[in-house]
Amino acid sequence: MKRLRLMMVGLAAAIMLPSVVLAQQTTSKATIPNRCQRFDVAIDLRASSVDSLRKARADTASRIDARLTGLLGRLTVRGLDPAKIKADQAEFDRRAALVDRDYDDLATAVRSAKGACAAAGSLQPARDKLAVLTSDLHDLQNWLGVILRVDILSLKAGGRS
Amino acid sequence: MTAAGEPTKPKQGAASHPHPSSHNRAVVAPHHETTHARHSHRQLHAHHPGMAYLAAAAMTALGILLLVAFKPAPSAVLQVPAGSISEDVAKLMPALEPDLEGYADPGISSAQLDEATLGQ
Repeated sequence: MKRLRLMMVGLAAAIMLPSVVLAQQTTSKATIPNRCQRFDVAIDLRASSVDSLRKARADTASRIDARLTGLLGRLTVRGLDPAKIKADQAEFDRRAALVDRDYDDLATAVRSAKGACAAAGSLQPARDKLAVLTSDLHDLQNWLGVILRVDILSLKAGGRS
Repeated sequence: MTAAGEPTKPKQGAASHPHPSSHNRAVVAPHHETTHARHSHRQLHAHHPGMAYLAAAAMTALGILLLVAFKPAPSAVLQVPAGSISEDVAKLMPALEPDLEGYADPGISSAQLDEATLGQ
């Protein structure tokens, strides 16, 4: 009787063991590709987000540029010297183009991390590009506040450029 | 004068007037009458330069009158908008300010980038 019981347990173990091992292997095989896929999906989302941000910023820059062009026209019609605002517009266009390029570089760096399966340091190039973009944007914001806004408001105060 | 001291007579058939002007030629040939008339007209101007000046002045006055009457409409570019540059700036700034603000924010942070790895 005891022997029979041992045989039954052994038989059950012999049947169950390969099934458990097989199941474990199947689970691990499914997990690793899913993890990489999720990472790639997340990277795609971040890259699309950067593209959208770049477009929104470019639209803002176009609006500012158009308003400066309108102001230049009014200065000219009123016989005022538009040189300073014209120089400001050229400087703004240069800085806006730099920011535009920074967004492109960031999007490229984010996309380059695709396929890395969230390996350590795979997002470091993107972080570096984001730091450059943030720095250029800070510079542009300061310039807008300190130079452009002051130059435009001085027209209001002095009536001349 | 002849060698004998007698005064020379004009030849037979020659014009009494020694000057070879068109007046004399007009007498010779009838088809020269129109030429004669033209020359007379020129001579009229030559003799009355005041008429030419008067005509020029009249034409100038007419030109000025026409220019004033049919003055071309100024183009939109040349039209000076009402108000002053101060008013222009006062209108511009409220429209411009929202775009000038918030430029320093890139719209994505380093933490948001890392969510790709943190979300594993």
